[in-house]
Amino acid sequence: MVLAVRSYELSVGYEIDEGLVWVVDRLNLEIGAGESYCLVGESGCGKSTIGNAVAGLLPPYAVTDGVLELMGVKAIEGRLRRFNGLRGRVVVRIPQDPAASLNPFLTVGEQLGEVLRAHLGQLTESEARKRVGYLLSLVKLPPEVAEAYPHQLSGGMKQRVAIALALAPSPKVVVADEPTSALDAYLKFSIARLLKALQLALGLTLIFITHDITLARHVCDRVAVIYAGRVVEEARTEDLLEGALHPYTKLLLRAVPRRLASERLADIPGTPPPPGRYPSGCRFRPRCPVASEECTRDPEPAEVGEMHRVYCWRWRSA
Amino acid sequence: MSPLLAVEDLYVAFRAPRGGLTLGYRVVWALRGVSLSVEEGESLGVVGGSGSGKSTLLKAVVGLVKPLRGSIVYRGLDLLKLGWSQRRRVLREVGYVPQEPSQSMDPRMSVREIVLEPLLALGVPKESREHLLGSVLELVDLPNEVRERNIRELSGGMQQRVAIARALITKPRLLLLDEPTSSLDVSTAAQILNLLRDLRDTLGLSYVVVSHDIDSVSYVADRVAVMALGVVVEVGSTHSVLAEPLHPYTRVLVEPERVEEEVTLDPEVACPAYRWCPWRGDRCATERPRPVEVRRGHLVMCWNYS
Amino acid sequence: MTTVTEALRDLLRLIRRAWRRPAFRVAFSLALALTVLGLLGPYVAPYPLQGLGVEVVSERSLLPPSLEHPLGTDAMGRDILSRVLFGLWRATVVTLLVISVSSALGLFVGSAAAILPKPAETVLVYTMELFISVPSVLLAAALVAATGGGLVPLTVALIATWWPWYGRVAYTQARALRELDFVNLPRLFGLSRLYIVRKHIVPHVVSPVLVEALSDLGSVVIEMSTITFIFGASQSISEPDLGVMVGLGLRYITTHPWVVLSPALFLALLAISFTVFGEVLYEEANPVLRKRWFRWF
Repeated sequence: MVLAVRSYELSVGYEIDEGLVWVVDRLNLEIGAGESYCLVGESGCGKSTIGNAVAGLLPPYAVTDGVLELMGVKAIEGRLRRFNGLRGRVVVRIPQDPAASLNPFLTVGEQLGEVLRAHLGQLTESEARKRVGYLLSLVKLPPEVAEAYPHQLSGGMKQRVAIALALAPSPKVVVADEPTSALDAYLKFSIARLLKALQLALGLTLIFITHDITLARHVCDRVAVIYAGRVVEEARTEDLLEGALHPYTKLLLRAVPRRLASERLADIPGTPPPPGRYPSGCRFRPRCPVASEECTRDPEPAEVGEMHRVYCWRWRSA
Repeated sequence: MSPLLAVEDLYVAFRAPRGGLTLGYRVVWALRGVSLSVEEGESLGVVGGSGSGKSTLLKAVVGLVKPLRGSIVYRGLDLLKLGWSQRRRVLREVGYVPQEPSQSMDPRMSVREIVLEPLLALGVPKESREHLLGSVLELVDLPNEVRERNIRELSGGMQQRVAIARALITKPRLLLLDEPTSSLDVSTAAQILNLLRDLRDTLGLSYVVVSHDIDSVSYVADRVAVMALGVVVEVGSTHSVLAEPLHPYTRVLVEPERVEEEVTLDPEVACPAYRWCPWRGDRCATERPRPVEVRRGHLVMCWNYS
Repeated sequence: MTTVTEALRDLLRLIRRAWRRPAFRVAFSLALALTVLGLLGPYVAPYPLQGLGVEVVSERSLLPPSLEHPLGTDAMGRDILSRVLFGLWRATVVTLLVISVSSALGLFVGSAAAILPKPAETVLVYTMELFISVPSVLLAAALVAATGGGLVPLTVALIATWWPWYGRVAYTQARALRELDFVNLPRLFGLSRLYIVRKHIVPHVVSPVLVEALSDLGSVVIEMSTITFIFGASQSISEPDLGVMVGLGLRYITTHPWVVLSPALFLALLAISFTVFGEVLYEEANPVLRKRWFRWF
């Protein structure tokens, strides 16, 4: 299997006024080409940072360690980040807020044309129009949208345009960072489904970042649950949703209100630790209902099933 | 028994800038004839997408926006016909928790100042104030030591608890909550939802909870009303509406996985769902559907059911 | 008043940040030294009566600097050092007074304008715009002509033309606030608009206004001296004023340069140190680029 994204002990930190703060800790990812992979976690867990790292969009004051390979090419090696030639052609990112990524002064067609020309060189008017039409049809938008300005479009349409913009350079890996949080509930599903359909049709590798664990079921083959900068559980979507083993995953699944189910929602006491103040050993230890002495050591991955990995000492007991 | 709160045929409009690069304003109708009621001890959930008018409904009740038409009757008194000070006095029984705790509380104030602010104009003596502060913090499960902390230092979940505490300090009968969990993480939202349920059980409060997430709302509400573009399209018991949604828009909210096409709501026609509704008829574009009681207590505004 | 203490605390933090820059350290120290000197001036001047302009010693006019008169004497035989010290006192007192009164006035008017009902708001905003469009020099000329000169019309003219600038700063900041719920909710609790201005708007607006005010210190010094320089003749020439002294001493620049150089030097030092102090403070309060900006290239 060709690995589209591979990371080995990848860590990411930020240099801020107080010094260097590590946000992502020794991430080991293996995502195959054409796979759809979800990163699920609450705010501040570092999932966006992982997405930015893969897409080559970390700010200059970010510090890295470890290795990241995209399609076999080393993009991050220690402190060095080499993404020239990779951004666009290999990896793109669909941002959270579509309105922020669209230029209000250009029509949709002009913006798509800009990206196309940046990656394909000179294009004639008719060629550009044809390609723009193709991109719009991919995201199920009528060709007339090319003449529209972003403010004339609804939220859902803007997000589709943002997706079209991301797909313009024909990338191989798409990082979608919470592409649905700014949208209404039903739009979440239609956008998520669109991404899934595009992934299958174009053979893309999709990395879908979200805090909504139930959305993962509709989009992803595999899911990784992130807590405080570390992966705590990783499995095939069905296996995770039906048979989660990490205490955090289990509690998270029971904290989501489910219709017509009146049992009390799981209460995870406390709050996730902020970067820089992570506890030693297992980072979930202070809030974990089944924590014990051994949890003061960093958990090692336990292979508990096919493609199912848990980073917990106590997974058997919970 | 007459309801605690009854909103009748409410109309609210705004002037909004045209948006994008165009100058000038346009008129936006936030509420176009909304009628809802809440009984004593009941909790009503109001669900809808952005632009449905659900937040505006709450703001109209507390007086942050002025309706153009209609009535808001609380315990038999039409609030819109009262003078300002009389209205303030009546609304002491209504607690309001606005959206976005970071915007509804002054970031320079301490928890104590924020929670006690509603009491300032009421002439409550100092000792009583401290006592009330203590009891209301206990109700929302906040430790006593947060009293002096600046609100900025607290996490999102704790900030939301402070906002709820502030709404509870005047001992209201009715609590209005605007998107209480939207800005929160899954685990924090769960804590707040549990808290709301507990408060309802122990204090016997009546609620109106507004949200775009029908699942969170169903956890705390007995009855649910669905709104779209300033009108109510369906209302009934939570169980009934969620188990068998009648209006096409309600189906979109309850079963979003099943929605194939893009849902576009049109404010120009009588029924907002007209443009994409699979059962649309000519009448739906010209005449506003009248409420039909399909099941006991379960009403839907759709010509299909007449 | 906790608003004042909090504003001062924020200011102190800002100064500490600005202290990193050597230009600021020099400017701040110099400005502080000159202000202290100015405030103490009348008490340490060796010839206070001459400084005040009351005493005139014609026989000792235009003497170059000596042990008795470290900066020499002017055309009327008055000790220049004393004159300069009194002039410095005037400059610092007027500047500080103008800045503090106009910033306080602008702060309140601007904050109130943002929250009052539309008609009141429009009136206040237009008033501010009206006053902004009046050049201080002309207004000062008019007031001086009407009242015959002196410290009071000068100060009033300066306050009248400076306050609307702060009013505008306060107004724009306050307007951004009025969309926020915490500004509108207290009305629901039955609290007055005055309460909201005092408790919720002013504290948020004080910092930007204060920084603007401090960055304007240098400009006020210059403006004040410009006015007195130009209108020096119409004011009583016995009054100690740095601008007036420069104006009167100009004619002796080739023959007895010390007469004009001393007041000019002090004026320049005052203006420059105040200006640099204010500018650096303003830059620290409104950073344009983040730390390590050069890494972006």
